[in-house]
Amino acid sequence: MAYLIVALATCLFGPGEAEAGVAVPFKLLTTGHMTVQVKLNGKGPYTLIFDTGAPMSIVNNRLARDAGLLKDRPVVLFAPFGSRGEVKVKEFEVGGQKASDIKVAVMDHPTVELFSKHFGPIDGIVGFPFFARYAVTIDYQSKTLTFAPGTYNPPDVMQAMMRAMLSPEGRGDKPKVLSGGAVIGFTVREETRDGSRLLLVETVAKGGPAEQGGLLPGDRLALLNKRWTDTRADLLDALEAIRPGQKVPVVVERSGKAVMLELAGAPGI
Amino acid sequence: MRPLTLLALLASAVIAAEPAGKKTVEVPYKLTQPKHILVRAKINGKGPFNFIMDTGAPALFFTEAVAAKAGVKADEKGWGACETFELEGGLVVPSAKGRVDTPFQLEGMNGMGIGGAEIHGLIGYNILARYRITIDLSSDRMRWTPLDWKPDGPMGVRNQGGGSDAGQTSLELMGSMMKGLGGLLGRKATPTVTARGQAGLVLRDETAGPVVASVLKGWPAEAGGIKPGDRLVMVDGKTVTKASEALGQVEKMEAGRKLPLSLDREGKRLEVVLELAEGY
Repeated sequence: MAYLIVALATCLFGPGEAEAGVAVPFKLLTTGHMTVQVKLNGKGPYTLIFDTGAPMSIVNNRLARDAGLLKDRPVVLFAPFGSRGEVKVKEFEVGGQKASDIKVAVMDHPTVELFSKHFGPIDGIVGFPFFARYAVTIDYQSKTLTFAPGTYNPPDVMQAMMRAMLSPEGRGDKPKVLSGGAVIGFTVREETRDGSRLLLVETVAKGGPAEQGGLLPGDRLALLNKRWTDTRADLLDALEAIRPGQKVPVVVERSGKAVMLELAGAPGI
Repeated sequence: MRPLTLLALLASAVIAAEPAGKKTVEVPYKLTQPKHILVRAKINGKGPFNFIMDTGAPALFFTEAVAAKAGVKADEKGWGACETFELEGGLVVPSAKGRVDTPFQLEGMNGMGIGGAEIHGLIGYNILARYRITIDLSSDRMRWTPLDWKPDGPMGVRNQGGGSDAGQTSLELMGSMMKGLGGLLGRKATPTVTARGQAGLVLRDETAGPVVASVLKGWPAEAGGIKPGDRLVMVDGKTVTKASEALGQVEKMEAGRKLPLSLDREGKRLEVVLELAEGY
């Protein structure tokens, strides 16, 4: 065992608020990658890379054998990258943070092997299925990851991908209809100016929430609910989170000046 | 005034109001289909470009096409300095440097970029390390707080006794961990989107059901003769008892779709068919 990991339950104080959570130290490699100590079903610790860009967690065959993850699996003669499919791990522990029933893919990822060669044994990647369950805070200065209880229930990424590939929306020949749950009462047009795309208010319905909030035809929508609104798609994304009755901060560009408005979304259709 | 100048002004005004280097910024993001955290950034006022927030990447990466659009020139080692690098939400990263690398570093990501949102790059260690970042996927924003330190590197593996292949290995380790797995992870980041069609009816819930509070002037409901005080009974053939149920009936209908409505006006039944219009 390379070193002993002490898991601390600490409080981190951010500006103006306190976040409680389990603080997990990480080691920073010279390449800028972070590694954490992970136990699977009480076995280990093993060194894995923590990766917010990984949609799945990966462990190599060495770890999988060592932790007894492949006990009920038949021996496979041909498996590219030693790929053995997905295994559900009953107890997946990163530092002091335990999670149950986490899926990992068993494979000998070539990049992980390369890291192993240079930095000592590294046996996999901790990805989305683990960290998505928490409000995770990454602090490179204190070299800690803090896992606070979260309410997000991560979907099964592999299943979701299969579904997406089979559904019309996933194939991209049919656009996804976004609702924006409130009526605001304006229309827009897209324009390109100096090579930049922008969105201009075309009409504002008389007596509607947009008019009451001070929106004018010709206004360039710059920000809605702090999101950039340069295209219709941007606007839809920004409106998607707006609920009826909610007030939304809007920044428009009007005659060369930034004007801040507040629009209220009304219930309706 | 050009749009970028406006945003730059806004950003500087916001930053000036806070003690330098301490302000927490809420950064909006989207989860792509393969569950990558996608954030948007403007480089030198151009864009926005789509980036994956990736602790498995050692640095900021963007494609040659992005570098060309933003006017970023790479030095002989492949690093390009951005004059401004601004994340959506108003976070301006001072003196951001990135690797300009299309064919090699982003090859895995290209598999995900077909249609929908194209992935233009990765935000990795050399940017991320300058912030304390909280990701809570139940919220649509991350929280980024600038830290009071300057992180090293990334330095690669040349000092690790890597032997003769250290140069090439170093390059490979400089890519994303997920490089090469793009094909496994789906072909498309986010589907294209379109707005639902609008009727222009503002509703309020009463005991008897949803009642028309107002009709937007010039919108389909006005053309259909609907008036404030009318009670909405059925939407597309289905009885509704609340405004939210009415919305539920139409939320997947695009502009141009014909929408039958049944209303009650002082005890008389009114049947109307509206053509949903584009609007918000």
